[in-house]
Amino acid sequence: MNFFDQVPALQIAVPLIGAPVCVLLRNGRAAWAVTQFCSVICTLLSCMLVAATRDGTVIRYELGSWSAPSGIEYYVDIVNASVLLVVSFISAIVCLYAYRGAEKEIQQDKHYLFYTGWLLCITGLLGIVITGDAFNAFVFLEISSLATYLLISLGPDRNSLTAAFRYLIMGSIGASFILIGVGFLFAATGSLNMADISARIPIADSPRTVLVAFSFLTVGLMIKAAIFPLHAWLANAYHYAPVTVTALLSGTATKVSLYLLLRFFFNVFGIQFSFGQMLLNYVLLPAAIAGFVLMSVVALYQSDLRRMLAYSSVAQIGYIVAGICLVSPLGISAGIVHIINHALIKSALFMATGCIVYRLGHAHIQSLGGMAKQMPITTAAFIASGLSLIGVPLTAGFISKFNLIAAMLEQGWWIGAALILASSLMATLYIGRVVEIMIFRKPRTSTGTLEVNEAPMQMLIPLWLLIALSIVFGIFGNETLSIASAGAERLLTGPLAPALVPESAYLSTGAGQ
Amino acid sequence: MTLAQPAFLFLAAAAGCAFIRNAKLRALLLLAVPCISLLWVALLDSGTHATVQYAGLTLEMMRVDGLSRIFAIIFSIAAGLSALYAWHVRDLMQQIATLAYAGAAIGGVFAGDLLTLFLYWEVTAVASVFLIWARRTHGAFSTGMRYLLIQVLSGVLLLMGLLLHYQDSGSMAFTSMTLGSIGTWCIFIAFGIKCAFPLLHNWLQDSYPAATVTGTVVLSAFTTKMAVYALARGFPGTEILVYIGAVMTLFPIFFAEIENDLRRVLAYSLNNQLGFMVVGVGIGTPLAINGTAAHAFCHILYKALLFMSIGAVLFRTGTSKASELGGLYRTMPKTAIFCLIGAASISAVPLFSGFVSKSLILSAAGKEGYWLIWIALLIASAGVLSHSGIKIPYAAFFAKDCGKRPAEAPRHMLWAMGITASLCVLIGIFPGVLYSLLPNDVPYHPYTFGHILTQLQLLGFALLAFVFVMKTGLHPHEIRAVNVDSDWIYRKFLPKQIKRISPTIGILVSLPGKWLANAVAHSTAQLAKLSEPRGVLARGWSINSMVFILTVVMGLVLIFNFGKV
Amino acid sequence: MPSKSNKPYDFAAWFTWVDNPVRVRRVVRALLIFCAVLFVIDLLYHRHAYFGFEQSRGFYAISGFVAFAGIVILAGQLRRLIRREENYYSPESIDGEKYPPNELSIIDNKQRSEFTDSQQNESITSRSTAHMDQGGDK
Repeated sequence: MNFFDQVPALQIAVPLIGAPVCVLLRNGRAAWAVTQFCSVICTLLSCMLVAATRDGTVIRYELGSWSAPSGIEYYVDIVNASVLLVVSFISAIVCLYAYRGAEKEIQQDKHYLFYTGWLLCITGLLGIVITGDAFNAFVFLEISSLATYLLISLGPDRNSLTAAFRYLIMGSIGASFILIGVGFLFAATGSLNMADISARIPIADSPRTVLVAFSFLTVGLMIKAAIFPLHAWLANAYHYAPVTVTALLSGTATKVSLYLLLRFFFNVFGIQFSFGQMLLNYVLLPAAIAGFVLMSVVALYQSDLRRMLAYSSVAQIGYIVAGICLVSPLGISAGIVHIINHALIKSALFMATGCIVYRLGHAHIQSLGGMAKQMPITTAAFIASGLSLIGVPLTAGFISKFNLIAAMLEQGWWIGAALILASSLMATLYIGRVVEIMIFRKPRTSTGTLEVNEAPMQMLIPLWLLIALSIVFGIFGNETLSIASAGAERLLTGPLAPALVPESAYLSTGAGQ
Repeated sequence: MTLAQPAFLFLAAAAGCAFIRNAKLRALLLLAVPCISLLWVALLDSGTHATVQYAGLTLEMMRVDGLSRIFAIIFSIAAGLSALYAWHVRDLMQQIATLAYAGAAIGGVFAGDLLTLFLYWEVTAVASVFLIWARRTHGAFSTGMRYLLIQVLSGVLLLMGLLLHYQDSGSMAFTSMTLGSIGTWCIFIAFGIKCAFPLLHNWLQDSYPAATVTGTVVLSAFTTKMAVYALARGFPGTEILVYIGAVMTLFPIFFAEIENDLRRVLAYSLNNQLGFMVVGVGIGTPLAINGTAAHAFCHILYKALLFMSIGAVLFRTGTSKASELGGLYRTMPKTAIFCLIGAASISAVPLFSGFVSKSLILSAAGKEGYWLIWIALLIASAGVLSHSGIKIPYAAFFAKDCGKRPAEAPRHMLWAMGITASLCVLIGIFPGVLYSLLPNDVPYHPYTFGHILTQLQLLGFALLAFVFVMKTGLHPHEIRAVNVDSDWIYRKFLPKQIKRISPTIGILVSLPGKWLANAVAHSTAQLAKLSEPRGVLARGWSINSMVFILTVVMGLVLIFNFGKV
Repeated sequence: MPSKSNKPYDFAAWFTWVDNPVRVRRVVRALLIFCAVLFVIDLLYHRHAYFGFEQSRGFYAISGFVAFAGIVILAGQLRRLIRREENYYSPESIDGEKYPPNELSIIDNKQRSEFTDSQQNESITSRSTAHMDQGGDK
């Protein structure tokens, strides 16, 4: 048993152990150090997993050597390895940023709890991604959700409590829908292991139980992934949570739910059932398109920067879902690329917003006049990541947009492509409007000047790291694309089952591949 | 194989600008980069340079041939001259925008494939809007937004078109295309927006007068000429362009005649000049393409010169409105002289640059037998004389004395105008230099006796007509007013209609919504009780409505899924 | 009229004729003669032409005059149709608003007629930097 065989377990164990350590330390700084350490370790571990699965290898790890399907199995292929990397990388970067970023927003004596919540949230998110067990996924979903409620409620605003509460309600409904779905799947197949379910699922005559499971999972995942029109919790949560938390969540939480959606509908139910028989794209695609068109419009009218970005997130999720709905290699890889790129872009945007909030105490768009003069590095960061959000060439956003439109056109859906372009026009407007105010408007203070300094370096460096990465991904887009198309290929091979059909085969493999 | 290209030089300088504290140093950089770029372009070998892999495609970043070289040369010159003219500008934003904008335009003309073209196409749109916003007024903001929207619209159409074209033809190469598929039409309209085709032209007249004094000079050089280049590369000999171009030469002259803002007069005049170039592209013969390239070259110079002189007037008096100006020759005589040289050039007076370039296009139209088009161009030429040749200098520097005694333009502006003016005259006297740069090898002699004679007659008698209309009082007075153009539709008509119908729609939407929400509120009374004590949950989307929507979606999904069984 | 005392050369002298009705009349007369001469040459000289109608005598002269006068007159009629007050679109459109003066260097020498370039440049620099510091107030 060598070290590498244990990587999947360590991926979860490291942050999970870190969390109680944080509580025990009862010290904000120390808790931060632990969180930072765990996030970096997780990033390294997921790098190893990505490297190992690049060639299409599938890593199956049986927890406690209890063999699947009765035991819990961790299942890693290129699809979830890349999502693992995104989650842990964003956590590592935002954690670096949180050192200063969280200091004003969260009471000093609650810092260690904050980082505990952070690590639990990451544990949950990584767990959802890595597990190959449907019920286990639900458990991790609950862990991450509960931690997220905590993180949101730590916000400085009184509204953060109500925002957390609303998220709690919606999140719980979503999670219980998923639980119901998993329960019905269990009833139909007698198994909780995803690969096993996909092998046993009686899709041919599609009995009621499977249909109900399918319906509940659809809606449950739509809530969790904030797909329009079930997105409303997201705007409040992102708005009132501490900006640091928003930066973390925007890059991770919804992306993980989207991954789960991909996994369930492509690999567990199978493409033939989900899209051929159940016509899932007829449900998701209108929602996605309405989402990115309407939410871009809504974003245009927001007066708070955080809220604007939150609605823009819903719109961007619409892009991802639209790509997935194409069920073509190009479309799915565009969706996966955008999962990665949007995580980078939106986290960077929220981090830039966090710098503004750190100095100004608020993020009212109309009061941002004179920012360019007082906080030039932050403004430049906002512009750079804003351009990426719009999808200007040479940025990561362009790679996603380009591939998404190409995928749409490949299917002959040029109206869909036109709508994406229209929505990116609106993105130009809502970003342009903020940039214009930041650069050209006078400050709205009585003295006519804005007396703030540039945000601290400890916040700017991680911010610019993300931006640099998104530009690198924009210029050398082939790398992310090849990962994404490998992932798309993996998803399109259909049910997970073929890998483990001979039951004796995987009983004997034990841990590792 | 090297990746280096002039566009990168500009873009790197733009990025570097942000880190230079000293504004004078930045201004120097602004001046130095175009000079280096000019040398670089002049020394480039023809052929393809810099092939890269991007997003799974092979891109030809650098294609150098006669057509791209002449545009890159004039763009470099224009960038240098406008940098000299903007020597006094200390605004970091404008300096960065100018460099990025000029660089993107040069990058665009070297693009060997549509994706690279699109890349630079978008950068020009984003960079140039800062030159408008830099005026820092409310009006400039909304104009800038309209401008940005239209420019980016052109970009997305191009993107859509190139992808569709790629689907159809399997090639991303930017070569001559034939109109037919949706893809090529998208590309064509994308070019047409930036080229200010009739009815797609409003952004130009809307935005150029809104930019800063120096910003307008920069704007006038690049966007539209990049589009002309793109048309010349992508759609040479497309007959519809001949007619589009003819309309373009004609309709702006009427608007220009009665426009009060002199910078907007010049914007209309720019539109009219673009028409000549578009006709040249539409004819598509080697001579006509030569004419388009030559005319673009000369046009950039004299239009910049005219914008510079009116800009100097604005700089010294605070207005560019004809009704507020007049008689400025007393204290700004040098500016007046440069303006007159620009006016003579645009009016195609022999020995000035317009004469040697416009005649190429007219000859090409004549040779190909487009007699109606030829007449249209002739009328348009008279129109050019009327609004650009006479109205601009007359209204600003002569006419009745407005009482203002502004100081002469600052020295750097005079130098910029002086160099531009001498280029106009030099090209007019020695057209051989310009002709040697042209993409096609077609001998042409502008200075024949017959040609000079006819042109002088046309201009002379048109001047007589000017005297005639002045004496008879038929000439429209300069009055403070705006003239509506087709942008009225989206600036006035549509907003009004939307305002009118939106209450009706609101009522239609909200009534059943309220009723349903009430019904659901009762069923979720338990939740409501939880939220009521604090009363905050009522803000934004309440849990009630969230759950209500959830219920509806769940219901729909169930119906949908079970409906198929 | 600006005085010429201190300036090396006043280019304004080139244009003073436009304010003198007698000299304007003289220039118009010269233009008439110039046109008449051109017209006569056109009658005598056989031009190369692309189209038949272009060959006809005085084609360019007539078309130049008619086109110019026609455009001006038609444009005058067009104005009746499309003219609106300056802030028709919005009171805050660029047509109605003043150009922000801090960007400019407005110098109106109603009293002084002397002004050297170096002074001007200094004043621009100081003005623009001053306004940068104030955050560009109106």
